[in-house]
Amino acid sequence: MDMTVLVEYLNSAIRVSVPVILIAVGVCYSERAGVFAMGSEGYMLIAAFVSVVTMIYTDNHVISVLAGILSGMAASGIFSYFTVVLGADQVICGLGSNFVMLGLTSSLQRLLWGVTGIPRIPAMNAIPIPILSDIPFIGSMLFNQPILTYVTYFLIPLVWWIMFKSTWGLQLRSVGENPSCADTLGINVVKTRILGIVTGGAFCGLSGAVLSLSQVQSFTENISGGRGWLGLIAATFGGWNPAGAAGAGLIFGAAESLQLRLQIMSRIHISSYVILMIPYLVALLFILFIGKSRRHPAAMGKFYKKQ
Amino acid sequence: MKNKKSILDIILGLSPVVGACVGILAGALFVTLWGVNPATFFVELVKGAFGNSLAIGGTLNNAAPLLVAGAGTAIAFKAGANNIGQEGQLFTGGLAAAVIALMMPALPRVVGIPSILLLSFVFGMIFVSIAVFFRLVKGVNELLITLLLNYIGKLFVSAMVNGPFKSETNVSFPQTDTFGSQFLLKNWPQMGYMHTGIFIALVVIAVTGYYMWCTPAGLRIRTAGLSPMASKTAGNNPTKLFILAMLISGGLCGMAGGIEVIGRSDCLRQGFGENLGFEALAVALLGGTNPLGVLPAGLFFGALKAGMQSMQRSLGIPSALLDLIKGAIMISIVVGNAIKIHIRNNSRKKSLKKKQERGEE
Amino acid sequence: MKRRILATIMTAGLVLGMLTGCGGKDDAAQTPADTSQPADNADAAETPDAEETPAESGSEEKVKVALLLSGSANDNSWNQFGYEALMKVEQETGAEVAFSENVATADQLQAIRDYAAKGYDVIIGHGGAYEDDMIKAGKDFPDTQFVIIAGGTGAEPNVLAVDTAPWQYGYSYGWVAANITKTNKIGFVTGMEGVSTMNNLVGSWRDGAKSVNPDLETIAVYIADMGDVAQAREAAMSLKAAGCDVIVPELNAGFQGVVDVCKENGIYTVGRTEADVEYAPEQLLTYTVFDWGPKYVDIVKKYMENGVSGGAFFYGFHTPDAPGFVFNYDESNGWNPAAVTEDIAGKFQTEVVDMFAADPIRSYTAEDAASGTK
Repeated sequence: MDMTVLVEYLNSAIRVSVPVILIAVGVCYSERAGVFAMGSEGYMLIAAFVSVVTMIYTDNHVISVLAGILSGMAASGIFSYFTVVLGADQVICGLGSNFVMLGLTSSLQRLLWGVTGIPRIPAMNAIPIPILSDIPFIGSMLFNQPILTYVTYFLIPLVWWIMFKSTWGLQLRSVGENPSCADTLGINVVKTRILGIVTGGAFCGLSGAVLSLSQVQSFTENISGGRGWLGLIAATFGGWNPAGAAGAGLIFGAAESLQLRLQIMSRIHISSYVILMIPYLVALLFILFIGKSRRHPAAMGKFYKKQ
Repeated sequence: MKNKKSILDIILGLSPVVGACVGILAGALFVTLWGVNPATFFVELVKGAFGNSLAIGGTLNNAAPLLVAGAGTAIAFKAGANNIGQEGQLFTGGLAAAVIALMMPALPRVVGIPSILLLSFVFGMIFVSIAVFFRLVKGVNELLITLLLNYIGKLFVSAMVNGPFKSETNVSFPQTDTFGSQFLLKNWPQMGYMHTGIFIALVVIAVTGYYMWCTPAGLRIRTAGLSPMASKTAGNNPTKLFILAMLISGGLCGMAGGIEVIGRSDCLRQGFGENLGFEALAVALLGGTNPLGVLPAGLFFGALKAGMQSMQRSLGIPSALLDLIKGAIMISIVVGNAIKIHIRNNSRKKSLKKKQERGEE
Repeated sequence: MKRRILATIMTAGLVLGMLTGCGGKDDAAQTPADTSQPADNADAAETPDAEETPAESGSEEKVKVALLLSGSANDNSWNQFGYEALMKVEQETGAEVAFSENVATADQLQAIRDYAAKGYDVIIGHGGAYEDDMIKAGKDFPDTQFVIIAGGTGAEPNVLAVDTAPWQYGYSYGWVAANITKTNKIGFVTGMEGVSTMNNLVGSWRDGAKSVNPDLETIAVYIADMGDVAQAREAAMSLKAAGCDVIVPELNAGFQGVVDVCKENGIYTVGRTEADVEYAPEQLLTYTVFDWGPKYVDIVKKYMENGVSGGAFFYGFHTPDAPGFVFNYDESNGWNPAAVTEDIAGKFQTEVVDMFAADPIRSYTAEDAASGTK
């Protein structure tokens, strides 16, 4: 296999993984704080819808991306009220919220644009970074990506730092491990959890914007297509560590790109369904050989009531 | 000590019902955007679920796999095992039906159907044991693995249906050859094509309910879920209980898949049980992770699905609204439950306070 | 107390289970009208009888037509064609119409039976997935016309399978692509591997290409979800990386993804609507108009005049009065004149169109259509 093919493959792997990586990072925040992030798929959907609609009316990429992020935050904010404040079951609330978002976005699309569907919006093409993109091999792989990919490169170390090196990150994690202890120390468990969930929602929102503005250039029903679940899986097998989650997301993207290329290269017939399994098998094998005890935050999923 | 049952208490007791009503109401309000009268919405919904024999048959057929998989999921959750792999387990269970019907076509009815039910249970069990393995040997939470396995299970069945089990004669859709009629559950055309799956489901509910509430094994499972420490002190082995609960739940979800295949169709078709797994999860949680509670929850969900689809046909509203309503109902029910616990706790606190004050006087 | 309730449920369930296990499966023989009705509601029983009369007489009584779609009615592709065709039927025949979208495989039969029981005369399933269920329902409602679009073989007396000879237009795509490719590598993006329509489409595409140049590389990629634009994009990108300069998509909503990639990279492709040509006039070779509208109207009119019919019927090059599909580029050209020269267009007529007009039916296997490179 010659170099250009490999580079092109890796370039595509990175591009494809960005939405999943972003969700995985968001899930880390929510779940580290002790709340299942089952609703990620839904937040991505509403954000994808809102950003496209905003783009159609404002023709401004920045505002549209921000609108997407805000909608993700709003949706997860509502979810956080139901689960953290009222104490409703997190799994069902998350699942229910996915259904609601699916129904809402598809219905609104139908209501506003009828059967013709949402028109296409201008592309956010790959922007090669001068000088850096000329570096052989790495240049074409890393530095010839759409702008939101670069944003993601920047976000990952930032997010990692916040979670493990900042005070707020520490508070967040303590609330997820042992909320009663954190409470005694004066940390407002409810507020911290809400912040964690909403941060997660913001990342899911960004992910949705990336998908609809940068990759699909439109909105179609159920555009998220299961990427929210992949993000959930990636976060878990990345050990709820943003860096690990990003790595896991990247592996998923790489495997998904790989299965397309495997189809092309194979001269003997392997069922496309078998090839489609590859990303998930990769995840499983990875956990088998590398995953140490991936203990989840101790208080994840449990409602905490202030004593 | 006896509390008077006030109206509030009754409403709180029925909070899942209240929640369901709120969700449906939300849907009714939303459809007004399509010019549909909310009253018509309700009427069509109920008609679609119970209006005639075809509707009732549809409701019961919808409910059957949900009840079986829901009961299984309830057991898992009661034991503290996070099995969210219903989709994958259900699909592998469906595969078992194809294995028996196509590889042993000479079996008579009285052996064939029970073998399918048994093998689909076994397939589901084997599939979930992958998650059990990862949890016990690698320490990875089964939540993750079962979720991952959903994808693998579904794709595996697709690969089978498009590969070794592919039909050479029925080629308009990815599916297997038609099963011999002795492998298919009996159905009643005059009762809306209702099939015997619902009876099997009732038996499963009864058995699992009995198991959970009237046997020592069930008690042990429940204790393990409520308080792992108390369970250990009582001399139970938490690992064994975890394995037991997971295997039972995986097996039942598999059996639900088998029922769906031989009840509703006459061959294994790609994507046959799409979404049933997650719906069963919702049913289990709505039923309070109690097999007995799963009965009304499963029937409700089955009715809801039948009603909503029929309503879509008669009113012409976009199918997306059905998802909206499903979600709204799910959220309303759990929020209602939460509010109920809130109110009960508050009133308990108040009465406790009052007693203390009186005591001190 | 609890024990007794449980015991009762168990026994009841077991007894019923045993009783039912002993009986045979006899649904095919019975129709709702034949057996004694339960007291609740006789709706289901009455309507099959009631609908016998209006059809034959071709009277003023409104014909009712129902449509089932597996995807969304607004996917700008396959399912939308069905929806628009239904609207045509409403306009041109005055029939009363209804449709269901996003019908899950498990719910198909119930939906079909429901429409039939509600008195719909013509029930159309837009896609080969409906074949089995239409045939099943057809047995219980002998006076209702069941139709399967693009798949299956139908069944006498009342299940009709109508298609637009996918092997004919697939062959055309392959033939044209082979004539204009400079890299000698052409690609196809689709889904649902192994389904007969796809076998015929991709298989004939390869056949058409190889008939021009046997050493050509034909690469087919199957994605998981016909509606996923992002996946379709990636598939097209991977074909571009493999060196294809002509890529044909056959998808639902995902179509757009491939067209976008081709536009961005100067690769030839085909479209589904006029908007596609306006969007990417240099890269589009043609857009294929299936125009299911007139065909649906044809089917309904036939029912209104002659009652039910069964079997399979194909439109294609061999039915020039009612073309199965029409290649359009602009007012005067079927194909993009910049790419498909007059010379090639002329040869197309003789080597493809006339060939099929004389010998219309072919079929291809899953092996012919296998994913990967051939």
